[in-house]
Amino acid sequence: MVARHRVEGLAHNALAAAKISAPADLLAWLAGASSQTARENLVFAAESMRLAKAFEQAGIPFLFVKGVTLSVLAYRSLAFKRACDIDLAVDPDLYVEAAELLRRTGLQCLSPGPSASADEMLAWTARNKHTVWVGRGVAVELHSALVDTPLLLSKVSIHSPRQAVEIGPGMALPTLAPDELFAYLCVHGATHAWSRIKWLADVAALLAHESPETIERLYRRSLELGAGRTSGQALLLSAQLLGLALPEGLERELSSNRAVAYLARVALRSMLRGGGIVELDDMALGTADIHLSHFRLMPGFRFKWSEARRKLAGPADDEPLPGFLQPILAAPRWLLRRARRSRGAA
Amino acid sequence: MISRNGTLLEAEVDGEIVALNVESGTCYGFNSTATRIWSMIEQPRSLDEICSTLVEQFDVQPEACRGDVVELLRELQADGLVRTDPPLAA
Repeated sequence: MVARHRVEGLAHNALAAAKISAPADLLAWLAGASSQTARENLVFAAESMRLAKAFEQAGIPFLFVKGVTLSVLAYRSLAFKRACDIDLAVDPDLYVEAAELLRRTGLQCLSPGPSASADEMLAWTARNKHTVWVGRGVAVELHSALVDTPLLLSKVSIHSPRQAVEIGPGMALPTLAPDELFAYLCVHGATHAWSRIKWLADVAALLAHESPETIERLYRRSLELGAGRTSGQALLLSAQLLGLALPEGLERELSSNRAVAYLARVALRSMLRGGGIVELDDMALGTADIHLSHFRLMPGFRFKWSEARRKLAGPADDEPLPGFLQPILAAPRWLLRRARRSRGAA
Repeated sequence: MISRNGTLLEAEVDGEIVALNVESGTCYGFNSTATRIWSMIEQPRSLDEICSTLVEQFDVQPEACRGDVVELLRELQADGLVRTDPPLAA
């Protein structure tokens, strides 16, 4: 379960801090996984510094989200938080230049493909918020947008207020400023229905040292920034599962909000589906709940319609369907894709 | 006086540091004693101060401790990670 939720380092650290005894083989496995996480984070941090220098020299504005900057902000350490890649966001108007810069640094484009032209790159990012690049032992997601759904988090972008996070002596990387970062993390986690508890742990850790008044302020501000119901969902789950202290009035407000309560239930099911061990993508219809929950992340018909159109268009690696065929073929194509993935997993 | 030099990215797990020199790409694993020494020289310290602290904290003879500390510091100095003033005797 720890591996499925990618919290090996956090679990190891928590057991040690609480002086909880556990079977020796479990402790040994956690220690090894924790050490691996720390080493990987150092590699990510070094690569992030290399990329930051390249982008600064090229004059392309950028910022990092999640990853090592969040690790330091939430846990004051590079040791605990497991990351799988580097998330680097740039202005969509400079996307082709940014992609070319990644090529020049020696990275290879994995998605859409190593020989993708500028037009193909832009066509890809019109349907998917990032391209994937690999090299030097790391994967980099180059984001043209922070979220897939333009109506969510509409007030946060690469040009939003930022903060510099010191990841080592004299080494700092830019990420979103606290208000925007909180809103972004809530939207990101909610789009996955918090199916990996590490995302919720990050939010709770960020807020752990904040006063209830600050947490309420962050929540209200996140609504202004376009987080919809995601921040309410995140706070309710953090209070229920991770002991985050919320202002009493706010907890009551969130608990009594039917849509937020529904989203919290979906998240709990997503965390525990398959015994909390099996990857959701490896289960038939494992992510159906999550996709359905997307329609409730924000109120209003406009958002639901936007989500429906996005889902009917399918993922970026599918051939785009003509508009009139989308409503007819989208569902069968989705089921076929799920069936292939489940067979592949088996 | 002995102090840190250069820039290491660090992460501490179970009282031991794993570190990466960003410029050279070299990785380091410090055991608990090396971690303790590295932590001490976050601020400049004399060799005597480092050794007396370690002798107090660990069950080790002063001469053996000094020898091990000097050997570690020479390795770190060779990699550009510490500065010693005056230089450590060969």
